[in-house]
Parts: sequence; C-alpha cells; structure tokens
Amino acid sequence: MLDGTKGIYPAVVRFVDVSKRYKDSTSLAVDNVSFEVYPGEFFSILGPSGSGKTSCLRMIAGFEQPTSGQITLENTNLVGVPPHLRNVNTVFQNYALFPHMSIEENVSYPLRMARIKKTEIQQRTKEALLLVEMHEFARRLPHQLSGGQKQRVALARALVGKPKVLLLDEPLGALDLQLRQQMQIKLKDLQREVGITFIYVTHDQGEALSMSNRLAVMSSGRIEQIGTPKDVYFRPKTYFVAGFIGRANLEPGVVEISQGNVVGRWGDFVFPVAKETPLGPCVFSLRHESVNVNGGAGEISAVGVIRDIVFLGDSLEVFVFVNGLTLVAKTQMQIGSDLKIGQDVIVSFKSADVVRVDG
Amino acid sequence: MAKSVSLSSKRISFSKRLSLAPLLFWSILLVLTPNALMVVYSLWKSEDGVLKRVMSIDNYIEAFTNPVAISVLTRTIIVALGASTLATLIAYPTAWFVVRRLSKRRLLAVLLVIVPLWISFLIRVYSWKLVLGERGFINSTLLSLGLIDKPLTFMLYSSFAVFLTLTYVAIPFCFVSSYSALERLPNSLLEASADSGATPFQTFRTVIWPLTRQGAAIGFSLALLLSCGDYLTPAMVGGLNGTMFGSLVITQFGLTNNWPLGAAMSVILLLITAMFLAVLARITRTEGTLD
Repeated sequence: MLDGTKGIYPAVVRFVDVSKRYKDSTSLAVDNVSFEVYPGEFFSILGPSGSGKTSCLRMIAGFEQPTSGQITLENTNLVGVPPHLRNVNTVFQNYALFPHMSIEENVSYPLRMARIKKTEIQQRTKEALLLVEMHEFARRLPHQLSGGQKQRVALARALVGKPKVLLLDEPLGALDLQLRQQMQIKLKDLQREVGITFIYVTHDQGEALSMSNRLAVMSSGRIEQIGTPKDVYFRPKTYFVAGFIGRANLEPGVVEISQGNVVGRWGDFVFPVAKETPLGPCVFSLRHESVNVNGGAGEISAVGVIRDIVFLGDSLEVFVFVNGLTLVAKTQMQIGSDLKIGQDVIVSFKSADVVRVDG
Repeated sequence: MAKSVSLSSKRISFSKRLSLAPLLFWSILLVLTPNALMVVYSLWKSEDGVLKRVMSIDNYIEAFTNPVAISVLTRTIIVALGASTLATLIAYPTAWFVVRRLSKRRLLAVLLVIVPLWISFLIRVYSWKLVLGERGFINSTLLSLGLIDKPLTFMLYSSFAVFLTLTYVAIPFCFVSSYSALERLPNSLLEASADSGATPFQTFRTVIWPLTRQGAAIGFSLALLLSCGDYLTPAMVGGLNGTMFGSLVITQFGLTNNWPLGAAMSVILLLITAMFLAVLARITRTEGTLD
C-alpha cells in the first residue's frame, strides 16, 4: 500500500514503467509503459494489432504478469495477484459465455462464486439483466442468442459484481457496422449510468474517439500519446498518431528563425509557429479537412493546381500541387462539385492547424 | 433466387443421405446382423452338442441359477468398473497436463501415450507377466533391495493382475477421448471464470468438468467395453482366481460346445454393459454446445 500518495493521486489503475516480454520472444510486447486511469473515466487504448494494447489489458486482468514495472489498483499492488482475487472484470472479444449455463446462470456466476446470499444473487442478477435489456432471455442458452445479445450478456456478467474497473477487449469487433454503432452509444450511456471506470481496448479509432474521455494511442509496445479525443485528433504529437488517426497531410518541413521570429517552412509556405517549438527539420501534419479549396477561412493561402480528385460519396478528396507540396483537401460535395483536374485553385489553411510532429 | 436455394438444399440433403448409406450398410452387416443372430442363438438349445431350434429361455435361467456364473459375472463387473475408473482417473489429469502445460512437446506426449496401441494386444498383456511374475521386475527389484526374502506370489494369477493389466490397456483410450475434449475447451472460458472470481477448483467444478466429462465418459465406456468382454487378459495373467465372464463365454463356444448358452451369457453381459453406459451417458450429459 502506498497510502501516502492516496490523496494526491486519485488514479484507479496506475502503470509505472511496465514492460512485458513473452516467453520465446525477442521483442517487448509492452515497452516501458506508464499511465493512469482516473475514477469514473472511459479510458481507451487505441492501436493497431500487435501494438501491445491487449497485453496491457490482460496484465490488469491478471492473465499475464508484467516482466518489469508496477501495476496498482486503487494504490494496492496488482503484480502477482491471481485473476480471481482482483476486483476487475473483463468483457471478452469472443464473449466467452459458459455454453452449458443459461443466460441467468452466466450472469449470476460471479456472485455465486463469491458465495453471496441467494436472495441477493437473484436480485442483482435481475438488475444486471434489466440493465442490458436481456431479462426476457434469462432461461436461454448462449448458443440460442445472436452476437449482439451475447455481447450484452457478457457485459451484464462483467458488471454484476460491481468491479472497480471494467476491462473491455475489442468487445464490438465481431459485430456488424450498424450494431457496432448502436452498441457504442449504449456502452457510453451504460458507463455513465453505472459510474464504473471503463478501460476499453480497440483498433477502431471511431470507437475510441466517440466514446472515450481520454485515450492512449499505442504502437509497437509504446504509448505514443495520451489525451482527450480532441487533443489526439487535432494536436497529434507523433508521426504515427497523425497518420493513424484520421487522414492528414504529413510532409517534411523545417522550423527556423527568420527575421527574429520562429517560423515553419513547409514547401514554399512560411508561417509563424510557437516560440518554444524546437528548431530543425521536422514533419508537419495538417488534417485533410483543415485544407480549403477556393474559399473557407485561413490566413495562409496560395494558388495551386489540381492533380487528382477522388470521390468519397459525401465529400471529395482534392489533391492540389501547391508551393512545392501535394496537399490533400477534404471538401464538401457542394463546394467541390465543379472542380476539374488541371484547374487552378486557391488553397488556404490556418497556421494554427499545422502541427509539428516527432518523426 | 429462393427457388434455386431450395433446390440446392434438397440436393445437399440427398447427397448427405447418400453419404450415410455405406455407414448404414456396414451397421447392418457388422453390428445388427451378428447381434440379432446372437439373440436368436441364445433362445435355442443345445442337447449333448446338438443344436435344437426350439425357442425357450432355459439358457438364461441356467446362466442366472449357476452360482459360478453369477460370482464370475459380479467379479467381472467389479474388475471392469474398477479398471475403467482407475484408467480414467489416471488419463484425464494426464490429458489436462498435456493440454495445459505442454505447448511444443504436446504432440510428442500424445504419441508416447498412444504408442502402446501399435503393439500387439497379446504382447502388452504378456509383458505384465514379466512385471508381476515370481521372477518379474517387481520381485527382483524388491529382492535385490533386500526388502523381501522370497518372491511375492499374490501379484500374478489373480484378479488384481487382471485389474492392473486392464487398467493399463485402457489408459490410452481414456487419454485420447479426454484429451480431445479438453483440447476443445477454449482458454477464454477458463479466463472468464477466473475473472469472475472463481478459484481454480471452482473453475474445474463449474466449467472444466461439465464441459469435458462427456469426453471422459466416452473413454470410460471404451475401457468398460474392452475389459468386460476380455478373455485374453484373464487367460494370461488371471489364473484360476482371475477368471472373467468372457472366459466362461468362450468356453461355451469351445470346450463345452454349447453355443446357445454362450450366446445367452453374451446377451446378459451386453445388456448389463449397455445399462451402465446408459446411466453414464445420462449423468454426464451437458446442455449447450461449444462454438
């Protein structure tokens, strides 16, 4: 117990310099990761497959032990504690419902294992099933349910024991698009309703951005950036984050001093940047939707020529060669419908939308 | 569209039925017919070695009123149940260990367990004579260690020897069926159970066993069938005290040349084992299927 730090750091889950190397593996699955998750938060870990996000989750659940570092749950050490003694519950990607138990038995399972009074078990099981609207299916067996229904039962089973933290391992991965979007809204509502801390692992940026209070972006076992969805989306810190989340123009540039001001030089564009920006070569990131063609706001502008136009349905991607750079602009259909390849256009953007990222 | 779907589904069901035809054919030829013949034979009579085709249940009455037959039958059932139980108790945990603890050497371990099946049954049984006999492995070891003065004689030519040998013979069968059941068990279910706060023992009792006991039961059934009807093992390691029901049956077909009585005894054994298997299937039934 680190009682002394309790009041100062209200973190529910804390990773301190956690690394994980699997047996027979030469590389680290999780490489010196530190982060904190706060009470009542919807925290996502976002990354491509093999980035170490699921390993992090499994170390909180207790299915894996860290090779080094410290993991705490409400300031108590978790390292070495077996899964069944941890007050966290997991919603598995493949649901992992017990096939030989009815829905009711599945949901009451954690309570039965804890040997709680029968009447209380009944009451709480019923509440949990009502919460996910599966009470009508209480007597069914898992194989009689659809994927979305199984998902809700898995949620109920994980919530019924009132864990300190709910761990969700790509829970929507196996559902079709429409159901996934419905479940995103449901999950967020549910999280607000029960007030339990959610740690949500996904490779789907849409899920992470729409549901999370904060998210961590992982790549090759390391955390690239932690922040609010807006932060991560508009102020990416690294090349990886800028490229992985949303669509961005990522082109090399340089930060230099010109006439006493710190400026960014990007192709032939020159624009002011914050004084504390480190000097030297770098990569600048600019979101596709932050680039305007023939109109829109932005103090930086230049004339360029359209190289290509890609139709996306509700919008267009316009490739413009301008000031020595090829920038992609995402444009609404109404604005871009009369654009043609080879046409001269005015390209504009706000210097504040250009973000310097670490290579 | 709907038409073509229904057409193709019909075609599938027909081809499915067609593919089942050989199975049906062999079942009739190899299972149903011989057993029916056996039942018919058991109702006929043999008078001084001459077959009389008159229906009666005299053979059954004779088998049930013969004290030797009854005591041998009882012993057979006890020995067979014991051997099957012990074989399952050894094979199931072994299979669990192989599935859960070995990863790379898993196949090798499975191979090692089933390799004895490639050796003649006779030789496997005979080898136990070399282990249990007066100058066998156990006795010579104990003698050379000075733990005993003269060879132990109770081991060979007894029900115990039969029991031990049948257990040994049954282990690979119990192992294979337990193994296939345990291997199918998804790891995520065990994790979900631990995650829900279940101790390892609770997980075994509530998840692992209910989902794999059918596999264990199949192994147990195979072991029971093997040991109930076996006459080679008692003939080789059982001696007079280790006689089994199968030995009595074969005597009827050979030495005493009373096929109808032998058939009746076979039917009795068949019904008794079938009864055990039915009870077993009933108590090990588990609802729900693994995806």
